[in-house]
Amino acid sequence: MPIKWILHWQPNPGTTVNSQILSEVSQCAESINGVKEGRWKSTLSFYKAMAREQTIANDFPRDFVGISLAEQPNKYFLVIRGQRLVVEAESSIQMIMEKLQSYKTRVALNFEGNQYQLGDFQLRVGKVVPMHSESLRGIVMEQKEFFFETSQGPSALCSLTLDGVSTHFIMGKITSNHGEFFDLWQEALLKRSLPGHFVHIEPNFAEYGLADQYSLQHTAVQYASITAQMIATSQSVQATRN
Amino acid sequence: MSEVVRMLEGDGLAERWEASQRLESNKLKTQELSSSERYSDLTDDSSLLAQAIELSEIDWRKFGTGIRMECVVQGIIETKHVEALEILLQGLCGVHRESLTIHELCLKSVPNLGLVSSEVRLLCDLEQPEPAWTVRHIGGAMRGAGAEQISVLVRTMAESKVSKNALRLFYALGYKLDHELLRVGFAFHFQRGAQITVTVSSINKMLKLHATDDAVPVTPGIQLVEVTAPASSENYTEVVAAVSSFCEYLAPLLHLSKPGVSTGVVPTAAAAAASLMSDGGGTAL
Repeated sequence: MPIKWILHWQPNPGTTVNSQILSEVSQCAESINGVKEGRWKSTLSFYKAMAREQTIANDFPRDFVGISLAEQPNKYFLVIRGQRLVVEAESSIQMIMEKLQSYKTRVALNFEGNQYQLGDFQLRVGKVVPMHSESLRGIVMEQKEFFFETSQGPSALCSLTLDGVSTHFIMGKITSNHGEFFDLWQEALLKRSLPGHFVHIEPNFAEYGLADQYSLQHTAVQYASITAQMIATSQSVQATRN
Repeated sequence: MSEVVRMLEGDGLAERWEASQRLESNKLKTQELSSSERYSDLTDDSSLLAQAIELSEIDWRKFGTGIRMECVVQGIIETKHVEALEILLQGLCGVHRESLTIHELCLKSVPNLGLVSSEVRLLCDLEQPEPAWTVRHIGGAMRGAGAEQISVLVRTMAESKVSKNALRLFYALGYKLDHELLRVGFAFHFQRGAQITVTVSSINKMLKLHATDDAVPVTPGIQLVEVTAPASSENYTEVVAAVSSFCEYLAPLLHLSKPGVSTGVVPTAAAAAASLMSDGGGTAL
């Protein structure tokens, strides 16, 4: 399974995210020869515990998140970040949670936008909006790279087309390859002098018991993590202002 | 700062999200005159409520085959007649039996969780090379005069395959183990007016927590027979008819009835079993 990096837009201090930034980021993907490949959409829902007695201390979490990913809408991922737990289920688990009436979905966020192909990379740029609303809450970017295992560990397969003849070659290290792409992308964004930048804070997958072999569960954990970071950022901005 | 750290740990995210939206919306309200932008629909409790309602009206059809109704009847048979039942089922279904070893854990919500207490079952299929987990929720049985008249129980049922850490998930969410059991036996899956499953199994209890290797029968010498078939609100009458007519073929060996309605063992079972064993199920009873 290809590895994914999920990044979110961190506005500069004193600025907020807006649709102008989103459109500039999308233009940027096209400016470095990204070929638009259609739309994508993932959804994250907050499940809130229905406590009978609000005042007493409980030994269950106040909430957890449920995630439906664009890659496999028939799957559903449940993440309890406080306990470093990710569970993969079928989408019908949503029906079971609804029937149990112990947790209720309060708010849902859509991550949606365009998908681009740039050589061996797939890039997704998307807005973060509450379900049934168009009010922009953030911008996300997904980078996907295709790898296969070699005796030296995971490597990236790169292809180069010259005079209509495609040549495939293996890149030695993932990180340097990813780094190069990321540098190119950051450089293109920098030229536009946007009031912020994309950040990538990788969750500690091992804490979730996830193996090195990348899976959709890794993607779900990344989404849960960036959502928490986006909320934290928006809160600390509020705190500074007040 | 410590607040932010705590939030990043995942505690109370939904509330904080709502709170941050409210703060922002208050700020926006003061700018309302100068801007015609459409604001968040999370600005006050009434719109939150509206959104909660919308969320609860999710189109369940998109969740696929996980949600359904099921028709079910149960009965018991003495273990000494199980072999005869197997021969009969083999003859009726025309398919081979599948071995069945299922570790079933019944979980209940802790007292303060949920407006009403809830129950969920985790099934671990031990026949697979890697134990395969399923979450099952059994809903209420269909009620009313129509339901009373039929001899088959119709109830809602939702199932989802789930990764192997499902038990940890439900413990984390505030569920406690109520009881666990081990079903060992066999099953037949076949199409006969409906997609019917017949399971014949002994129900075992564990002497130590999760010790499936160390299980003893709850009712020695007696096995449980269960006939189930998936249905929907459109077709359940046909499925009930298919299940009822199938049950008639088993009548000489066992009585099947709605779960909870005990009918005991059948007096003709010994004779019927002897007849089946002598001709290998070649003739219909």
